[in-house]
Amino acid sequence: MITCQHARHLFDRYLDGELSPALQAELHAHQLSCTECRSELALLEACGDVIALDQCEPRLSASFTDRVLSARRFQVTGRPGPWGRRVLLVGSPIAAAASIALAILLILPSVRWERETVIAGADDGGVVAVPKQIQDMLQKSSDTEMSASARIELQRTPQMPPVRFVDAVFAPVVKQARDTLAGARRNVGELKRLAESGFADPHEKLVAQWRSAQAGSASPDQTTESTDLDELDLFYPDYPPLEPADETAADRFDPL
Amino acid sequence: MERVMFVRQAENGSCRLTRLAERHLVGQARKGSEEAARSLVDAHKDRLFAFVWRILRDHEESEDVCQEAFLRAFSSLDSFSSEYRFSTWLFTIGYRLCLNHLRRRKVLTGGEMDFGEIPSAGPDVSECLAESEEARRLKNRIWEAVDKLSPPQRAAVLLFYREGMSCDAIAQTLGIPMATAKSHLHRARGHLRSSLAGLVQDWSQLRILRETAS
Repeated sequence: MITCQHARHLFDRYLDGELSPALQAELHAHQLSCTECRSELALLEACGDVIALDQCEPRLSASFTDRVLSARRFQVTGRPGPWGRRVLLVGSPIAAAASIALAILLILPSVRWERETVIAGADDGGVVAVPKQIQDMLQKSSDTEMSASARIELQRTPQMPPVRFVDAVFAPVVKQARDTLAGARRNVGELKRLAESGFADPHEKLVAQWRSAQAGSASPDQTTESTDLDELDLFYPDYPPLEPADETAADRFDPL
Repeated sequence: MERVMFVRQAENGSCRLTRLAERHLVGQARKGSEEAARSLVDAHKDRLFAFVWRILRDHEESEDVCQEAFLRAFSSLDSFSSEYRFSTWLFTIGYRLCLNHLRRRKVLTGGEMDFGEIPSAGPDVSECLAESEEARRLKNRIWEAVDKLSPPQRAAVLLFYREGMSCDAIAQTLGIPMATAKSHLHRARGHLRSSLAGLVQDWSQLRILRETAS
């Protein structure tokens, strides 16, 4: 005959269905004589029955199945197809690179680089480019090595603000663009100047040269003034070979 | 397809798919059959919802978890092995989602979650209980005791009694060793025993309770 303590140890195995028939018989025999163990086991069995059979949970909404299936349909059709996946494969690295570049642009402005500071402090009046570090060093130990005027000038020199990384990166590009723009403006100016000084109508100058050559002693200015272009066009005289009207202007003109 | 052939009546009255039916439906759903998916949802939704609701005790959250569990199960049908039951797989997903929700709840409440303070089901629970006032009171006390169990213990108890799973299947579903699953189950029984001690003096009352429950 088993004791109450032994019986309680067997409860779990009994309820799990893992108790051997011999031990089951022992347990049943004990229950017949022990009301407490009988009630306890009955309580556990009742708990199991209530949990298993008492379906008192609220019900799912009637449209649940339809909602799941429509969500599944969306899940299936919403996936990117083969082309979409390809776009993602190509686009993802580009997007990643763009993100990194953006992050650098946003974060690195806080990183400031010291650039060379131009100070006018030499005794001879020249302009000296001194790096910031050297300038600091000079400021610390300039009592004996620098002249008084240079020191005063150095102190007067306004400290230039530190350069941002973005400026340092884009400065050459901006400079190149400015040079190109300035070259184009210069070329336009040359064109205008040439047009005003006779480039627009070389015939007139050439005819003037020819007539001056014909007249010999006549001054070019007078010849030019007496030129009748309408007459010239009508009679087509023998023109001298075409030469550049203004050699220096032609050299300076560089459309490219 | 004769659906009746694939359905068997479970002990607790709910219709459950046979293993053959389950395999067939899973195969069809894998090929994209919406009808098969619908059958799988219909066959499992109530059981899964009851299990999830018992752990979360929130209707909307439980519905969301069930829907998510079905969607995840369907989206990874290719990796599903037919060695296992679809229900086991589904309950595994549901249980993990429940734990995620409980963790989120714990984060939102900003402290330790007292699982014993989960609100009771309310008047709709008592409506479906047995007619006997005494039996209803006892059942309420039992469910209150179940609600005070920790989530793993509650899950183990529900899977064991409601789903009729073995300790091995419970371990598989909860993703824990079998010894741990047994430990959860035994500790849960111990808690129930201590919570309900003194509740029933006469075991004949329990017999009535068991009869009304069934």
